[in-house]
Amino acid sequence: MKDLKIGILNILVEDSTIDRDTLAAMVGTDRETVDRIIQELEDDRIILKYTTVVDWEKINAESTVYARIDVQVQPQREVGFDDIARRICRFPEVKSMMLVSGKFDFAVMVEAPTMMGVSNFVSGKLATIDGVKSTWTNFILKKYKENEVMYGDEDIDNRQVVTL
Amino acid sequence: MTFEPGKYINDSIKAVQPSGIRKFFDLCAGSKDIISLGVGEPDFVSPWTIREACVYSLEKGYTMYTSNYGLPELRHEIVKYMDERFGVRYDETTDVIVTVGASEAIDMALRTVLSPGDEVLIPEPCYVSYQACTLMSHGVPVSVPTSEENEFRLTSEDIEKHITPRSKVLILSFPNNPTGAAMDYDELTALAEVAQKHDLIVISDEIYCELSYEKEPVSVAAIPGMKDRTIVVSGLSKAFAMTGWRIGYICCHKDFIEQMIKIHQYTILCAPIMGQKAAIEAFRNGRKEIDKMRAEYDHRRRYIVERMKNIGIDMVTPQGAFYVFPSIKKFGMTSDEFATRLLQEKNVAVVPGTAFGECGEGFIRCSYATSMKHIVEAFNRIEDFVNNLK
Repeated sequence: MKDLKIGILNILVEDSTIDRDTLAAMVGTDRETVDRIIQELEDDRIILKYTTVVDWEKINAESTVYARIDVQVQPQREVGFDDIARRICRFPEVKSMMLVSGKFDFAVMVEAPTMMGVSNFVSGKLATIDGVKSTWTNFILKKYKENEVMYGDEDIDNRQVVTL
Repeated sequence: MTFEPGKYINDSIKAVQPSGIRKFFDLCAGSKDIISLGVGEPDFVSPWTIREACVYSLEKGYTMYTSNYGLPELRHEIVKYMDERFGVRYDETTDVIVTVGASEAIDMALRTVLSPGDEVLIPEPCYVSYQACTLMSHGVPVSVPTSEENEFRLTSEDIEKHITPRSKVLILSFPNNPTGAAMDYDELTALAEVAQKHDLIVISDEIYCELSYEKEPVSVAAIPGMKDRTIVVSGLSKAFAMTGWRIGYICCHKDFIEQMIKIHQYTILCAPIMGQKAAIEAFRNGRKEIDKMRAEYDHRRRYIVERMKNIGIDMVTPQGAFYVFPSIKKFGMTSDEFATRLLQEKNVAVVPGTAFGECGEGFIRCSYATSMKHIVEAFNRIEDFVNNLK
């Protein structure tokens, strides 16, 4: 059952819009089993969300500024880093966040409409949280790859049409 | 006096038939919206770590010849792989040659062992080069048909029926192109007994071994008593998605290698060094990518088996490679007619089974080395096509 779950998850990670009948055939089971397993994975919060990787630059959408904020904090007794991490995570500007090794403790991925918006968030919200010792803001200049997808044109199949 | 090149052509080359798919190339040319299930190579690009290793080697100036046998580091990796994966031990200094793809290896193996008139037992349907290379080596190809009833696996009885005093070589190629048939240890052991009984050399084309889905891959050389009489032919094209690099290899007894190397050094000299450098990286760091690609092929295979069943096309469940070989006998057409009409009416390219030997009549080969999106659309079209035939 674990292999089946992992098989389903691997396919959904690649394409979460895949037709459930097709998915069932690909893992060698029936539609009902797939529906049940996906429901379980959702209930157990193993599947957290179905999302889409978008190259926003291509549709000239309103500009968004991305930044990675490196944050150094003072861990707290009994809860370590988790309590302060939860406080930071709840801000809508924070899109993802990780505890990292090295000079800083957290890598916090932030989005805002403008550079000023990022700046205001860091100086007004993030840096003023109790326990935050310092921040280091790195603006993202260009994205090349996200969620295993490379930005840019689709690969072209250059193979010959028929080969033996 | 008019010069006629044709009368100067070697008879054994004339006897070789051209590839049976020329017509399909012509039909496909200029057509748009064709979905091809006719491609015999992976749809994946070689993993980046492999490509990057090649680029790095060029930057470092590796543009020279290598030893005729191949780079020592690559031979070391090949021998290590054969030991760890299949439990067969070779000496990297005497038992291995790096070749220009498995194709060169097949040609070289046959040329080394065949004298005029020697017979080569070739289980069919099969990849097209065995018969051609036999003829070019002045040997006599003997077709050994396999059947749908036996799921295209070869049996001892199949071989025994075709043994003569001139039988010298048995070619084995499992997992098989075009049928997807695979054979397990016990089944191969039964064939090995026949090879030993009749003192046959086995040329085992194991190019698809890593793409085995339901059975652990077995090298024929791993069967007791078979290592010395087996010439293992393989390469990186299929498992590592490295077709264009043209890197293959031969592992066998040093007495064969001593003779083969003469052919290799006088005709090829060595496989390209950049491909050899890439192959070293593939063996060292490519295992995870192989597993990922195999999992993806397996998903596609399962989907196709289910679709074929629902559409009502009879098919043996393939167990290896990336092909399915369904029967189209019930539709009252030859393989060629079926494939031609499918291409003309639905823009789906497949290969008629007859391209792989006469016993391929009544079948078509569909490759699943293409994306799921294309596979789903291709089978929607095949379903329409078949429904219109009913």
